[in-house]
Amino acid sequence: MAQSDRNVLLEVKDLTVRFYTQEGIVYAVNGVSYNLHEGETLGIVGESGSGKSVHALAMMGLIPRPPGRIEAGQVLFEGRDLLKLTDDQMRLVRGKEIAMIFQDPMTSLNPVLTVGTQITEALRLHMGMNNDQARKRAAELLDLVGIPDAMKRLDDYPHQFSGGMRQRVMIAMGLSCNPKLLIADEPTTALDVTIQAQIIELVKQLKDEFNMAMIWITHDLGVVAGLADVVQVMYAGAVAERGPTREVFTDTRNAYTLGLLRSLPRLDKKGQRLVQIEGSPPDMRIPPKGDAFAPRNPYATERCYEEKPVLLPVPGGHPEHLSANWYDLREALKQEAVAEKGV
Amino acid sequence: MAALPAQKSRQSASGSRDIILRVKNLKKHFPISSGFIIQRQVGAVRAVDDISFDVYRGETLGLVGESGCGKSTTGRTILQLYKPTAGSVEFEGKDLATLPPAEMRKMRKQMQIIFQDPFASLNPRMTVGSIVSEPLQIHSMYTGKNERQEFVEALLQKVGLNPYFINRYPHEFSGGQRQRIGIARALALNPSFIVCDEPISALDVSIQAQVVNLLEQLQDELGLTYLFIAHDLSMVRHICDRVAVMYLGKIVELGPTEDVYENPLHPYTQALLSAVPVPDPTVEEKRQRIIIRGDLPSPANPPPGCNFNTRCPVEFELCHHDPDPPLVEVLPGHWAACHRVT
Repeated sequence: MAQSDRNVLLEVKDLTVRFYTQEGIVYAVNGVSYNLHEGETLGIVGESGSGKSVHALAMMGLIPRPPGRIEAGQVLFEGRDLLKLTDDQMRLVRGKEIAMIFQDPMTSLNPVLTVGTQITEALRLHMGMNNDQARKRAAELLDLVGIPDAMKRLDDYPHQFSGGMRQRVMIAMGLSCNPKLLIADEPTTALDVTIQAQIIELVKQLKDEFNMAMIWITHDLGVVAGLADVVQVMYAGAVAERGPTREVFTDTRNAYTLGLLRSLPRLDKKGQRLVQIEGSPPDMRIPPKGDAFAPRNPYATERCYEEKPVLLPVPGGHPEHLSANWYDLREALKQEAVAEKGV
Repeated sequence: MAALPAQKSRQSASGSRDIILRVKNLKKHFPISSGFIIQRQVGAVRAVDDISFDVYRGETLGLVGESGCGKSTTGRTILQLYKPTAGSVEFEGKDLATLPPAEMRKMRKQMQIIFQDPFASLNPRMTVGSIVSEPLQIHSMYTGKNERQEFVEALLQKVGLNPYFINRYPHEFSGGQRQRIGIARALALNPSFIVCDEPISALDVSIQAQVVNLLEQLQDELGLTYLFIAHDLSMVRHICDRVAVMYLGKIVELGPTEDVYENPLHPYTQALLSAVPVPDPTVEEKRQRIIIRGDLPSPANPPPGCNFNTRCPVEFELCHHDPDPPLVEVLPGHWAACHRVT
């Protein structure tokens, strides 16, 4: 559950990112703020274009500039603002203090270098190891992530590994310098479910072993339900709802989260008709005036169209459960239930 | 083994149901060639390796499996988009492989496909109107100009698109809308059977339900039969009447959806179902996962005996020897290919 007694590791404050493209300004991330505690797993859920990946890339100084620009905000990692670091300083943080793994393990590994060269690079650079030490450590890491015959496989190239194995290599690289924070951006989306299950088991076990904090970015609510301590749902570049995983799933207060949950078929339940969310996500070149979800929201009130909602603790809920909305979803659902009974 | 409710299994196993498509011992092997000037075949990728099943009129049959298991190849080989290596596909009682080309062209009107990627499957230089009316043009239907335009507009309306968009280009639409265009194109010739090849996996979560609801609604209205190819097992449970699970080119389990999900017989199906995450923390906490080790073997070089023996948690001596376990009816209407259950 929520671990507010632990120290804050990462503090994101009002992060705002825009892209200045030829087709206009894309308002990708609009004032995202949250805290991540040591050892905590934060699951960030959202659809494509919700700003979930872009905000993580911006934190790591990895968005192309131009066209991207960080307009405002702070990213305090152990009290240091990452956005103020020079490129050289940032390079010492990336890989060593904060590691990142990406969706597509084929394009994020260099196809013309052996896996061994790619893992040992970080070890030599950040940990000051010599070649032999680094190779030995790299073999240990591959062994740890469950790649058999590790010492031999160091001399193989990425194409000689399967998709799941490549993602294991990426995880080994991510862990190589004992980072305090691992950011995983849709790490299992390109993989099959049985391989996804392998990777999730592995990450859960390694997270405890290395005592890392983790940000797991995904569009799959199922993955988050089994993995995360805290869930944060994003829509149109802002946080829609956030709270301890169980609270968000069982005491849902934001209409977008509820819409997502209701539109998902369940493996463990027989099919009823899916409740679909009407319409499509907004074009972020023309940011809507009020609540970005209002045009698709059956519970929207007039205020939702006029004024941006603020992320506030939910009334009568868990103190760390926050939601950004002007309507009272619990009340609306009660009335809906009464109306249904009446009919 | 748990006994199934007799009524249910009798109903699902009833042999009297109208068969629209019968696939018998279908094989599709892609040759692997070697040599620079003189090419010779050195092996074959056994994408589909001897599968048989029936599709009943009006049902949705799910074809599930992981990438590389041959599910998409099966769909395409059924439609004769690939020439089968061996075996037969009977549609409405006619063997498609032996039909003369003119007959086959007529038959194609009855069988359509919806593709996975709505960004790649629509020609970016054609308007929505010309994309949807192209099949009509090929088959010389609705030849009057106004007649055709009216028909296309009605189709667009039917799939939930504004007919006003008829002269727009694909790039002006979102992923979900493009998939609707693909569906309209598939419906243009008034088919009875549609292969849905992963029609929702490229779409955002909030859009998937829209497209699935549309497919279900069209099935009710038009009496369509679907072969629904997917890797999303939760969605397959929702939409399919029966489901076939494929592994490395073979069907390992086939049965009514509820039976397969509630009582999976094949160890691969059991592992596959246990690997799917459920969006409910309370359920996730209690679930026992069967993690299967290792990766899919290469379909060019499958292991001797049962294809699953390299990863199977319950394999034994017999599984490593040919012949591989046949698909047998273990429970009424519920088939499995495993030495452990037969």
